[in-house]
Amino acid sequence: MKSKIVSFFIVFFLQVIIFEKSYFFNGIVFSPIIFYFILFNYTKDSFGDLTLAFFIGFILDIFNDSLGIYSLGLSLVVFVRNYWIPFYFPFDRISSNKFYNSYELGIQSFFFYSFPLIFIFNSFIYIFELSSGIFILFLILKILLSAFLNFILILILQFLLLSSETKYDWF
Amino acid sequence: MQILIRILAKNKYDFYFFFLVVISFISIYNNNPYYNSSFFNSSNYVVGTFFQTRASIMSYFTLNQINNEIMKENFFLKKKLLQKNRSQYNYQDSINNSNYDSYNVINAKIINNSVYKRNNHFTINKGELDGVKVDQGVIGFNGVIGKIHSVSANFSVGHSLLSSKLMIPSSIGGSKIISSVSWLGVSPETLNVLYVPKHLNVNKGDTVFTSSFESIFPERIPISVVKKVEKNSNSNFLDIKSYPIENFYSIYNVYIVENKMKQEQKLLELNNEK
Repeated sequence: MKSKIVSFFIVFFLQVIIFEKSYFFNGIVFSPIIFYFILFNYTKDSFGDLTLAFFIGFILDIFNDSLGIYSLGLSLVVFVRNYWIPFYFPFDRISSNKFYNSYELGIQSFFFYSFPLIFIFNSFIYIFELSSGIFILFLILKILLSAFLNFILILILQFLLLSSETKYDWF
Repeated sequence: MQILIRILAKNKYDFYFFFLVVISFISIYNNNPYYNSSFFNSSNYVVGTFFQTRASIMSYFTLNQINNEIMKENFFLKKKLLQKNRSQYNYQDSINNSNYDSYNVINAKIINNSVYKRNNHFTINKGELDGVKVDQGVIGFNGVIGKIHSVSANFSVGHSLLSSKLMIPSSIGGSKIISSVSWLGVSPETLNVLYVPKHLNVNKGDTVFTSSFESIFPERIPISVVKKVEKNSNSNFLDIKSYPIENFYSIYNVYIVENKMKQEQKLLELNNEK
């Protein structure tokens, strides 16, 4: 629990201090905050998770002058994840204290689990906040590249924040 | 009714999500001034203080660049002053002086800025207590930066030139024909100059200046430089692309300009419309 709170604050400050202003390769943005919503424990139809996502998104929106965008983007990730986990994983593997990271799932399985969620979040942010007046194909390529680089960032954060000693202490 | 309650109870998670979606979309698309008020954006006290602390830490790493900019500005002003001392006071000077005398200037620092969004904003370390008001213009050393849209006691947030919500009345080169500069969101290096009639001779390298229309900026403040001119057969206007004169990736010191006569001008115009 303690490492979960510490990780949240690290990810949150990375988002608002470093990555809020950073803009790579002419249009790629990093959203480390999504790390927290992909890896945390899963409870089916949890109102708490959805409210937390909306609330954290709302705070990010205030920092970002983008009222409504991050709150909806993060809520969308939590909502889709609510149905994605039972769909993607065989039901005998789902439990509320299971964690969904590459230590547990393996990199390949973690990629197929997390990439669609990152892609949805990035698509939402690009469509509503970042893009305008660019070709649709170029936009899709940008979203795909951004989602892939965010996946790499999540892996790095996971290896940095969830050390082998603390990874089982995550919940 | 019972069926409806049963459906609601069964899908309460989905309905709750839908409720959050509705709230978010209202926030995204609502133009209500309540949403633009200082609490819900980076001009609020907590976020503003946070950005100011971040900006003061970051500024230590860019001191060299800031010094160079100030040196450049000092050099430019010194040159202007010397030129002015040498020249005789003439009719043209009196016109220019009266034009700039009607403006108040407040110096400020940009503490947060974005360039990659559809509507880019900047946060300034001056607010209502320093005399900043909504709709005042913001200029940098080289030219136009944007317009203030939200003010709290100590901070303010503005739409930058790289915002689709901002359209600035302009004129190209020495001509008096009014055009508009706006950003279509393609690239931070490209601004569109709209409504320039085809008969006007516009060349690559011409400077686009502010016009006194809308009375936000003083006249003849540079906005952008023309980089491409095309004649479209389907339109009566030239298709002009320009690049902003200010480098939005690194803006630090800015000036907020207030037209002291704006209220009077607007009131008169409003009375005439009735």
